[in-house]
Amino acid sequence: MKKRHFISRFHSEAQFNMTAMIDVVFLLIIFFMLICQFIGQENYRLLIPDNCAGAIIPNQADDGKITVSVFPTFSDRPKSSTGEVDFSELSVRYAIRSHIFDPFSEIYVNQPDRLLTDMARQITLQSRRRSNPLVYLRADRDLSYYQVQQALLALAEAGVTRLELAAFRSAQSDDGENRNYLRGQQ
Amino acid sequence: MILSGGKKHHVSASRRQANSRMRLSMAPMIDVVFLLLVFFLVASNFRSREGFLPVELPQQVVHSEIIELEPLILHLESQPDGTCLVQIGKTDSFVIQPQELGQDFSPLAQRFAAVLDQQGRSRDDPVKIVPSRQTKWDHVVKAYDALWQLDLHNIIFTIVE
Repeated sequence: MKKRHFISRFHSEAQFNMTAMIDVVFLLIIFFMLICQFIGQENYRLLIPDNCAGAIIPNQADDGKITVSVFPTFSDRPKSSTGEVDFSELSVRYAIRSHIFDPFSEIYVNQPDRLLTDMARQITLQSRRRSNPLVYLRADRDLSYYQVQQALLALAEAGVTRLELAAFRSAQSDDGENRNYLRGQQ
Repeated sequence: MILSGGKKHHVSASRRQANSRMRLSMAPMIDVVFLLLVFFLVASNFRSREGFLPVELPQQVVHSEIIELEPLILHLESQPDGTCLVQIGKTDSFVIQPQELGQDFSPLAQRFAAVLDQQGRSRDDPVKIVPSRQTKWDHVVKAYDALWQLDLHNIIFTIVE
C-alpha cells in the first residue's frame, strides 16, 4: 500500500505545468505584436541612397502608405575594373508591396507595354480606391535612373502625385559587398 | 493523546506537502522565454530607420498648362569611374569626385545657388533634373537632396527614352 501511494504521488508531481508556459508564450507574442511593425512582406533588402542630409525622419509609420520597391535580381554586385558597381546591363524587379513584377518574364517580354499598365493597376488596387495615395519609393542606389523611371511612370499612370523617396540621412557603413541583401527573394 | 498528537502531525505534513506543490516552477518558464527571445532575434529582419525626400509628381493634365518660366536644367551623367558629370543650365560642366559623393552634393548646391543668383531666379522657379539613361539613382537622389536643401521645391524629373 505504501509503495503504491508513493508511486501515485511521484507521478502527480512529475506532471509538466503547461499553464504558466502558455501564459508566458502568449504574453511574449502579444509583446512582440505590439512593438513590431510588420513590414516583412515588403522589406526587400536593397541599399537605398545614404548621406542625404535633407531627408525627413517620419515620426510614426503610416499604415496607408504604399511601398514600391525597385531592386536588382542578383545577390552579388558585379564591379567593373575601376571598382564601381555596373548595373547597366543587368535586370531589375519591381515590387508593389508584396506583388513582384519581373520585366524579364515571358509575358512582359512579349508585351512590354503591359508592365506599366499592370503596375499602375496594382497601385490603384493597393490604394483601396483612394484618390491620391501616398507612395514610398525604395529604389536601390546602384540602379540606373532609367530602371527606376519605369516605376515613376507607373506611378504617374496610376495618378499618384504624392511621393516619398527613401534615403538615409547619414552615411551607412554597409557597402553591400558581403551582404545577402536579397535573402529569399531570388 | 497519542491519537490526537498523531492527527496534528498528519495535518502539518499535508500542509507542508500542499505548500511544496504550490511553488511556481520557474525553470521551464525561463527556458521558454529564452527560446522565444532567441527565435524572434533570429527570425527578425532588422531595418535601419529610413528617412524620405518628399516629391510632388505632376498630374497628368499638366501638359495642357502653360509653363510661364523656362526651368533651370540640371544635367547629371554618371561616369564609369564613379564620378558624376554635372551641368547647370548652359554653364560649364564640372565633375563631382567619388570622395565627395560619399559625403554629399554640397559642391553642386553651392554652384547651383550661385547660378540662381546670377540669373535672378527665385526659389519658387522650376528646376528640371535631366539625368542620362545610365545615371545612377544614387546620384539623382543626392542631387535632388542638394536642391531640396536650397529650399527649391519646384523640381521636375525628365523622362529619358
